[in-house]
This record gives sequence, structure tokens and C-alpha cells, in this order.
Amino acid sequence: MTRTLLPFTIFCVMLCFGVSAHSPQVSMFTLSYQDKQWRLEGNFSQAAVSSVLNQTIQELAQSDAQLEIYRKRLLAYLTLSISLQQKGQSLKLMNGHAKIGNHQTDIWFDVETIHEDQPLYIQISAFEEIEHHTHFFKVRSKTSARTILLKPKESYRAVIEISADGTIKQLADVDEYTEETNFPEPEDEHPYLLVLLGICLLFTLIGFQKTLRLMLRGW
Amino acid sequence: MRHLMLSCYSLFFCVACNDHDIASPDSDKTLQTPLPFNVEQLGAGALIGDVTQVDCELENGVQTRCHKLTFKGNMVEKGPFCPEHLDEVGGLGVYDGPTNPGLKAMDRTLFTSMENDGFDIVDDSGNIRIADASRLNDYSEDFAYCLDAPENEEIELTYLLPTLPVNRFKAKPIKMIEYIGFTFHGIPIDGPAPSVIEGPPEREGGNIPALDPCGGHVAPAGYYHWHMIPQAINDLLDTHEVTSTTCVKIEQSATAMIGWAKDGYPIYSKQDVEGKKPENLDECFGHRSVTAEFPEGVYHYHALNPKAPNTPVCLKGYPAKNALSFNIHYDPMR
Repeated sequence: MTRTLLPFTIFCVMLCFGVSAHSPQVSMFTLSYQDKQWRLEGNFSQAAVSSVLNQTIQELAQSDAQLEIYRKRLLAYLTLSISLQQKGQSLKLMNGHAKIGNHQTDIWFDVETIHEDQPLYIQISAFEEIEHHTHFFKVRSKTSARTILLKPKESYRAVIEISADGTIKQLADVDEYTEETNFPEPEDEHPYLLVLLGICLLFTLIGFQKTLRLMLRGW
Repeated sequence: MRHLMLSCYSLFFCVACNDHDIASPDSDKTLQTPLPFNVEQLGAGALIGDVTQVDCELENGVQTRCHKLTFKGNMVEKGPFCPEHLDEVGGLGVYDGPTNPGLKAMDRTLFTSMENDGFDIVDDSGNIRIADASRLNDYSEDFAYCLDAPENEEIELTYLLPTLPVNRFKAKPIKMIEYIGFTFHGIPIDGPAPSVIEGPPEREGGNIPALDPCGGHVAPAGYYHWHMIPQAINDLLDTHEVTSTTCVKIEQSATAMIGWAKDGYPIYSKQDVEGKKPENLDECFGHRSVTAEFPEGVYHYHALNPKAPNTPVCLKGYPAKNALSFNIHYDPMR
């Protein structure tokens, strides 16, 4: 019994330390139309990037090869966590670039054609691991610009529409549109952590009970 | 049995060593309620609605009550930031290169020092290379830039302050650009600005964020924030022998309460209520004493860090989770 309990306890100790790190709160995305091409740019705190990639820039030996691996990991992470959809189809993110910095990291992708007068579904789950992280999402059309927030309580989702004259509308209720898209359903926050903590507690209680019995017998 | 005891100790160790899970009992009940919010003091029309109390959760998981304040962002006079030419003087920069480092005015001396250190930040005509920090991808990596960013007038900021501060077992140091608190203008105060010279060679080496002479600037997301305590910055400029610029847009005061730290304790300028240098300061530049707003005495921070920035270097208490959040108030007529 105690052999089983020990690894769990050690895991709990590691967990306690693992969740205590401070992380920056805000990221900036800009979806803009320039030179007849839509482009998605991102501007992040390097601390946020280090946090999700579990590797700080200082840990790299600053060699070109290591930096390149780091860059590819970041772009892969973002490609998986950024979803832009129209007419039920995901828009491709192409030609990803990343400039890794000590304090700030900048990325950009070319985006497949965005159709005018059609709802554009946006979901960016990047950095959702960082509690209360918020994305400022700026859209620059041919004629106007507008910023919306993607927040955790809305599962980082929004629906906008860009009209032919460049007007940008935010469509009110994200959930109204969710069924038409492939958005994953919002999940409860870290349910696996709750289960693990429950198991830890259970084993600890059993352990205490046994200790108590042994002590009573001893007396 | 030995393993079991070890497990119990480990669990205790886990709880005891994590400052998110333990609080000392010396919370400052002086602050419980009501806070001395003088609404007229709260920034020229920046406060939106009333100061309310809401349920909230502190970073250590304690459920408590918080004051909730929402402000329009950017409601202070600001600038100048980057000068356009070597012959002009802009705001401030904190330079950490080998030549002439420290808190500096954005003037010929600073940019010449940067050029001496190998950063190409001035063109052949003496123009300063200036970049929009929110669109750095548009700029060449071959040059260094003075960083500026446009404001977003639609941003609103909501702050949660514990009504009854709860102290940590050990004060927590402020990290680079960490949110510290806010001033009565409704403007956030952040920790130290990032290094100019550090970072991989492909990015950021030599890019210097511009602060205005009162120690604030606009974040890439569009909201203005301080990296210094603005009411005490001119003394700091004197200390650092910065003479070519000075803060004129924020009234300087040696004794005023200037705002709140995110742990719920007030922040004051350099002196105590009697105009003297505060005594018995702890490692966070804070102490407990009588103030004009709290005649029974209260723990509070002072803008006395002689280094730049002059903000508290650590915080005694736990902030609320989501202590600062944002909203966009879209105005189609704007």
C-alpha cells in the first residue's frame, strides 16, 4: 500500500510546484488584408511562448539549429490551436514565420482567401493553458479596423463578418453558429487534475486510517 | 510505515513550500471596507460606473470579496515617446548596453551610445528608426528601432482588489512587465521594462521601448501603462541625472497616495504623511504606519526604489485571480 502511495505523493508534490508559475496575460493577433493577401500576425510575450513550449529561450544554446527546432515547434503549436473557418471549411494557414525574441515573439501566416459577406468563425486556443489569458484580435480590412477580445469564458471564440465595402461586424452569439462548424465543444477546465487530486486524497486518507489503526494497536 | 510517514511529510512539504497555499494571519483589517476611493480622484472621468464589491478568488484559492473598478483605458495625457531626429528629445528609455547604461532621456546621447554599441538605430540623415511594436514584422531585422505603439481608445480595464488583503508566507518578487497595481487614473502599473540588448541575434537586439517622460507607454495591444510611479518620477530623473526632459503632464507629489497594488495595499509616493522619509521599510519598500487616508495606520508601499523603475520590487499579499481584465467597448460611430 505504502509503495503505491509514495509515487502518487511525489507526483502531487511535483504538481504543486508545476502549477505555481506566473505567466503573462495578453496576446495580440492581427488579421489584415494587404497586397491582395490575408495575413494573420501574432505578437506574444516570450514568457507565454516559453510556458507552453516548456523551454525558455535562455535554455537554448542560441545555435541556429536549436532555434530552428524551437521555431518549428511554435509554428506547429499555433497551427493546431488557431482555427479560422468559413462555410464549414477550415481556412489554411500557410508560409508560417516566427521571429523568436527574448521578450517578444512575432509570427505570421498567410491565410487562404476570406470570403466577403460570410461569417468567419475564429477560435484561438493558443496559450489557454495560461489562466485568464486574453487575446486581442484585430481585423484590418481594406477600409476599416476593429479589435475584438477572445476570452477564456467564451472558449476563445468569436464570429465576424467582413462585407464587400470593408465593414467589419462582430456577430453576437457565438454558440448560435457553433453547430455549423467543426469547433470542438468547450471542455471543463483540467478535469484530469481533479481526478488525480481525488485519487491522491483517497490514498492519503487510507494511509492515515492505517497509521491511526497501527498507533491505536501500539497503545 | 516509514514510507507512509515520508509520504505524509512530502504532502505537508508540498503545501508548506508553495506560497499559493499558505497565508499568514496578519491581514490588514484596516482596509476591509470602505476603501477611501474619492471618485473625483479617480482619473478625469475614467471610472465607468460605481466601485462595487463582488465575490472573487485569490491566487491561493481563498474565496473572498473584491472591490471591482472599471476604467476607460488611456485617459491620461501622454507622450512624447520616440523623437524623430537626433536633434530632438523624446521620452525616456532604460538602456542596458555597455555604453552609458541606465535610465536615459531619448536624446542624442542615448542614440549615439546605442550606435557605439553596434545598433543601427539612426539613419544617415540623423533620423531615428521608429517601429510600431504591434507590427514588428513589417520592419527590417537589419536595423534597431525605437518602439512605439498606437492607442486603442476602445479598451476598458477592470481591476479586482481584495477587500481584505491576505499576506503571503513570503513576499513575492515582481517579474519583468508583471502587472503590479493601478493609479487613480485607472492606468495599470507594470514591473520593469524588458532588456534592450538581450535576446537571440535575430530579434530585439537594440530595439528600445520608448517611455514618455512620466514613465508610461502604450502596449502593443493598445493600452497605456506605467513602468514607473509617475508622481515621483522627477526625483528619480534627478537621481539618474536626466536633465533634458521632465514629467510635466502628471502632478508631482512627495506624499500623495497614488493608487493600489494588486494585493489590495495602497501605494504612496516618496514621503510619509509628515513629509519625512519613511522608516522601517521592508524588502518591498513597504511598511505599516499612519497615512492621511488611514489614520489608524495601514501597510502600504512607497515609491522609494532608487533604481529605475521606482515601483515596489515585491508584493506582500495575494492578488485576485484575474486581477486585471480587459474589455472592448466598440463604438461604430468612432
